[in-house]
This record gives sequence, structure tokens and C-alpha cells, in this order.
Amino acid sequence: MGNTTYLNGVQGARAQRRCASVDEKRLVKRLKRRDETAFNQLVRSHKGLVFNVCLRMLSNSAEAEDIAQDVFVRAFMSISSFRGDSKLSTWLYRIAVNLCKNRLKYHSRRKANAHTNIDDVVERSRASGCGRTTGEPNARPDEVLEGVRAEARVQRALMAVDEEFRRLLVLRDVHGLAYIDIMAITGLPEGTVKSRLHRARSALLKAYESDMKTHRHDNVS
Amino acid sequence: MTTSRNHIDASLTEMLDGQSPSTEVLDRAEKSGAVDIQRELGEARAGQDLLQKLTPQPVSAHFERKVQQRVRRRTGGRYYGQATTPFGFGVTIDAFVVLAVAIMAACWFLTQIPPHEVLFTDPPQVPIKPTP
Repeated sequence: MGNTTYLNGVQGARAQRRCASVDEKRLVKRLKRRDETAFNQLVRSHKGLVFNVCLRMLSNSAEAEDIAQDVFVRAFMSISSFRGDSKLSTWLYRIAVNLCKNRLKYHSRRKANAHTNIDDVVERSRASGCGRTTGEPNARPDEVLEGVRAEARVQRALMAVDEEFRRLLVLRDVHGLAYIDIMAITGLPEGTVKSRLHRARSALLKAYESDMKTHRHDNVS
Repeated sequence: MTTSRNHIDASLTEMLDGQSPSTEVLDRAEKSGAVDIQRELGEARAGQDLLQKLTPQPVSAHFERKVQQRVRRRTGGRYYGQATTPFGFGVTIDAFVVLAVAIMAACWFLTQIPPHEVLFTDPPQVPIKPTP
């Protein structure tokens, strides 16, 4: 009985995946014909993911939105070159990550620190009521505030780690992408992704702890 | 050294993911004292847990409209294809344009050809008077 249920579940999952891939192929076909409704559908279904990747990479919501919009514009312009080897979402992620990388390079060249505007992200989460870690919709204001602060600390730590590490952390631990997708996005072999991910997590923890110490000192003084 | 360290790190990530890594590498590393597996795993898990605090942020309300504006601005409003099947028969709009032109041309030809009697007229019935 249990075995039958399991098999039904597996078959159901396979059928669902097949349906999704057929739907995606149809969507890509329509996109290549420059169908406006298909473009709107693509933006609607992927805007959240693309924006959040950019936000975590850049830590500035205005810039993240600018880049996210650019991701879709570029995707529209070069949809004819999409071969369908990877998922459409993976392709969008790759464009997003590359654009963020270019933007960070641009900032480092100009020695501008505009992308480390953590307060902007905090304000945004406060405004949307998302910056809580309690998981309760009716959390107390002090809990909400603590959640927002914790999120700001993590975001600061994320910005403190190397850009290469940050990319892997955002893709794997924030968005939960599979290794095969991360390999397609970054162009790194699986072993390298895993080893760097381990170092990235340790580096993040160290950055977080050092940030805690710094802010404790600031509060005391 | 670096290669073996890479192997160890990759195996630790696999372990954290709940996969069964090649324990041989980790055993050897632990015996040699090169790595404290429990400590490293703990750190990695703590780092992973930290990121769970990050919640997805909503996109601004006019995001789609702004993307559309950018696409149109960049292409001068010529990017999107026209509706290819206007009546759902799988016939392109071009076919309707050609058909319309053909009908108009036929009508024009039909109105331009003079009737038979105009082309072949009889000689005038009134006798021509000889000039004096």
C-alpha cells in the first residue's frame, strides 16, 4: 500500500515536471515570436526571484530593481539565443548574477560604497512587514523590530564576504537552488561549488560574529 | 594540499546536505588532525541557518510597467510582434492584407474594362453629306 502511494507520488511528480517543461517550451516559443502577453507572463512569474537575487547581491533596493528590470530587458532582446539547454529561470538567474557582478565591479572601480546601503533594505522590510523571523503574522512590534535588526545584521555579514562566496550563498542558501542549476549559472564544476560553499558559510559566520562585536562596542561607547 | 582541502570542504558540504560523502577523505583528514569535522560542520550549519533569517522582499507595484517602458524605449516601440493569428485560424495577418489587395485590384480591373459595345461601335448612322 505504502509502496503504491510512493510510486503514485513519483509518477505524479514526474508528470508534473513533464507538464512544466512542456509549458516552458511553449512559453519560449511564444517569447521567440515576440508575443507581448508571453513577456508579461515571464515578468510576472519571475520578477520576485530575480529582484531578490539582485537585492541580496547588491544590498540596495533601488539598484536591485534597476538591475532586475534590466535582466528582463536583456532576456527579451536575446531570447532568440536561448537554446533551451537549461531552465528559463536558470538563464534569468545567470543574467541577473552577471549584471550584479558587473555593477559591483563598477562600484569597486569607482570606489563608491553605494551598494552597502543596508538601511535601505531594512527600511524596505520594515515597510513590508517581512522583516521578522518569528514566523507569526501577528508578532509583537518589539519582535518585528528584532527580526528586522537580525536581518540587517545578516545582510551586513553577507556584504562583508567575498563576492564569489556571496553569489553561492544567495543561490544555494537563500534561494535553495539545486547544484545543477548553480553549476549552470556560475559555470563552476560541482566539487568547486561545494567546497566554496563550505568556505562561504564559515566566512559568513565569522563576518556575522565580528559585526555583532563591532555593534556591541558601538552601543556601549 | 589545496586539492585535498577542497575535497574535504566538498565532503563537508555533502554531509551537511544529508548526502553520504566519501568518508575516506574525512577520516584520513581527521586522523591527521588537519580538520575538526564537528567544529567545521557546526560553523557551516550556523552560517546556513543565518541566511534563513533573510525573508523575500516584495517587488514594487509598477515593476512590470517599468520593464515594458524600458523595452519600448530601447526598441523605439517596435519590439513586440503583431498578433500573428488574428482570427484563430492559424493564418497570418499578411495573408489578409494580400487578399484585400487582390480583391481591390480585381474590382479596379472590372470597373476599368469598357463594355463590349463601347469597344466595337458601329459606324455613325447619319449619312455624311457631301460637301458642296
